[in-house]
Amino acid sequence: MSARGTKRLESSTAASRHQREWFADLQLRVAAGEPLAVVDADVPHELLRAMDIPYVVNQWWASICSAKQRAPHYLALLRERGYPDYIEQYSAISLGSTLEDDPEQAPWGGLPDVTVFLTQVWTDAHLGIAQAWERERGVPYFALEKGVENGVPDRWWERIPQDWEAVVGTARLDLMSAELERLVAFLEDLTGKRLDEGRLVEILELANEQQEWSRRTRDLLAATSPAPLDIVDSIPAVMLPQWHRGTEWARDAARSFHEEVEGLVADGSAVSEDEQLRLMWVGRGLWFNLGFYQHFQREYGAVFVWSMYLAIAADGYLRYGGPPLRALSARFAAFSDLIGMPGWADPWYVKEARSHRVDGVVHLVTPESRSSYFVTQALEDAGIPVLEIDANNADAREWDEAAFVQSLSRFIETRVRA
Amino acid sequence: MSALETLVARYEAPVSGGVGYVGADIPRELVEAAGLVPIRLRGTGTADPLAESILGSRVDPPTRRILGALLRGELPIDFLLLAHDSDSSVRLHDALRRLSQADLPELWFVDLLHLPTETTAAYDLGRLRELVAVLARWSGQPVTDESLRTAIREANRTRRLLAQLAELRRDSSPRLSGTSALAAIGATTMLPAAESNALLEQLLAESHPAVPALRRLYVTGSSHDTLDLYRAIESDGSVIVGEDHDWGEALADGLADERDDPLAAIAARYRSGSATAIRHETAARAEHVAREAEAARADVVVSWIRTGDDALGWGLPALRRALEARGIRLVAAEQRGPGAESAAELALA
Repeated sequence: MSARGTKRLESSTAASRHQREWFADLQLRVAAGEPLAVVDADVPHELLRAMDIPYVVNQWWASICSAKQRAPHYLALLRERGYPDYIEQYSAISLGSTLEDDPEQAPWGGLPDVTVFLTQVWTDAHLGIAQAWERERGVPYFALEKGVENGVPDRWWERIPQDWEAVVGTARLDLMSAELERLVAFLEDLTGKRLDEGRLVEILELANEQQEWSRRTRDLLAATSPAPLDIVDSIPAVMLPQWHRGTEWARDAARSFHEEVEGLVADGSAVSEDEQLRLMWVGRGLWFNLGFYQHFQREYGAVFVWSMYLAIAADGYLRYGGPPLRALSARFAAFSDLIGMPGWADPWYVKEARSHRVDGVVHLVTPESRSSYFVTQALEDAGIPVLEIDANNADAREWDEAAFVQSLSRFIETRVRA
Repeated sequence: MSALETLVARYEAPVSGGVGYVGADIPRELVEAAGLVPIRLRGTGTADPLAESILGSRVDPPTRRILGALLRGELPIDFLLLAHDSDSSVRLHDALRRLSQADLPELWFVDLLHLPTETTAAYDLGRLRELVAVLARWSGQPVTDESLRTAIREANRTRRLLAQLAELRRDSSPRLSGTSALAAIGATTMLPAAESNALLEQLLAESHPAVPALRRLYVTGSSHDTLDLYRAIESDGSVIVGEDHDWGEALADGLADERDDPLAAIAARYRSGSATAIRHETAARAEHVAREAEAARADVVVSWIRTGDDALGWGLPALRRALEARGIRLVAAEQRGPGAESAAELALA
């Protein structure tokens, strides 16, 4: 079984190719004196784009380090300096990568020099990681708070694009809007760059257009069986453009992805010649091994038709109307709630499981998973069998491939096909 | 019965009723100003299989045990307040809200945040205003400025008395063991402030024989809401002369400004003056621990970090450096279980 998945879609390989080119250009820009931000996935990247500050998404870079099998070494480098290597690895690997002691081994030539680190403190570790960037690398950081509401909105995915003020909550939006104003001032001081408010409006519109294409693609895939593609293809096709959210390239990439899927559907193309089962992958991608998905396709005709990456692009990002900074706040003040908060996340996964007509669910439970009990219970209550896998998505050190294959095989044989 | 014995008894068996709460960030002053009794909950008892499944192994064990006790209906409280002290307490809130069982007490999440910014200050003040309305509804009586000012004075009085109690431990011959001090301090979170203050005054007036100290330790890292670890550490003749966690002497920190608008004073105190406020500011906490450990004449600092509270490990390099600068040894115990391993396992000798 190969550690790398096999991509079939042109939009997927094109996105990967673009990412390589973009990163090479980024290295040149930074070498020429441009600043570079490393930003967590749930920080409003759109603001950086509107300030023309190049950025790398912390968790995307961790996934590259992991796919290149360098993550264990980077965690070891952090441990040598006294930091924990056993918690929030996904958010810490990038810092470890800047301590690389063998430049020849650095994925893609390594991260260029980092100017600033941006995070949202939605777990206890995030501030500690940010402070470690400052201590170890001399990189200043800016942290956004993560507020918590007492209420849970009903069917947020239907309301949040338009009614985001009520769904996210005024207190949290007031807070993040004010924080974003501070962030702009902080970045202006640090980099000398200025926020272009007209550009921000355009970026938000492009981001919405991009997610609208993702929504159409998600809906089309949900309605189509046999599945024309699996998540090895859909993850890069949706996530690489996601990290370029707010650009014309990203909007066009999302449209190309949709058009390619439409073509596959029109041709009756299927990723598996003999689709027997439709599976859903709940949780983060297992970045160090994207090959096993296809193993189960061959063995059981089991196709992983769903990952959260396309689905959250479809349901989680759209925000219409309102002042730009407030609408942007509405995209991120509750983002981790959507996919991880009990009451928010579990009914959404059930909705997606039903619309995609999945036969079973593999649920990757990482230590940071906040709603795993409720998600599993809700899916099982809906009559959908769930296999929970305890693993860290970016840290392969304790991954037992043979045990996982055996466990999933038994699950398919005894619960999904039963 | 001495004051110390009374406080220990209250710690072991708190009164029933009132507003149970989880986290040092619950402003007790507000609860008392509403005419209610705040009772901080401890995660004692045995592990509950359902609670363990719901919260998972990465939530701090005391929090999991509180959920277990709530699910079993063992906590005789009328209402429940939960604070944003840590990710574990947020997860407890998320789970309870999702469970929404009829037999659980009505709950409210008090979302006080800590970044040292005006934006966070404004947010916290808004959240406190919401809490005032909730407490007034629960108690059936309004929270007045006068009742708030009285509650602030009493709470500050508790903090000043706790600071005096800390001095007993810092004496060249400690007058209280860490275990006794932890129970006495903890009891003040389970009693009305006026009652705590009377008992603390009595305790401070009583004479206390010196506690022989083979070595003097200062404890940081995770909080301890049971006496287990302290007893284990002190069983070999060591004495814990101070700690910075929020079940210990850190509760003495941060007076609320009695001249300020009362709600604004409470907001400021909990945002920047509470034990939680510096919990995750690694450099500030390291300096604080080093300074306090030196003041307590500690030979060794023990950083005890439980699984489920692991993020504190990100502060260890800063702590090690701060202690090295003062010539104080650090023993870091990471990924600890819920139990109290013996002092021998800490390699203190």
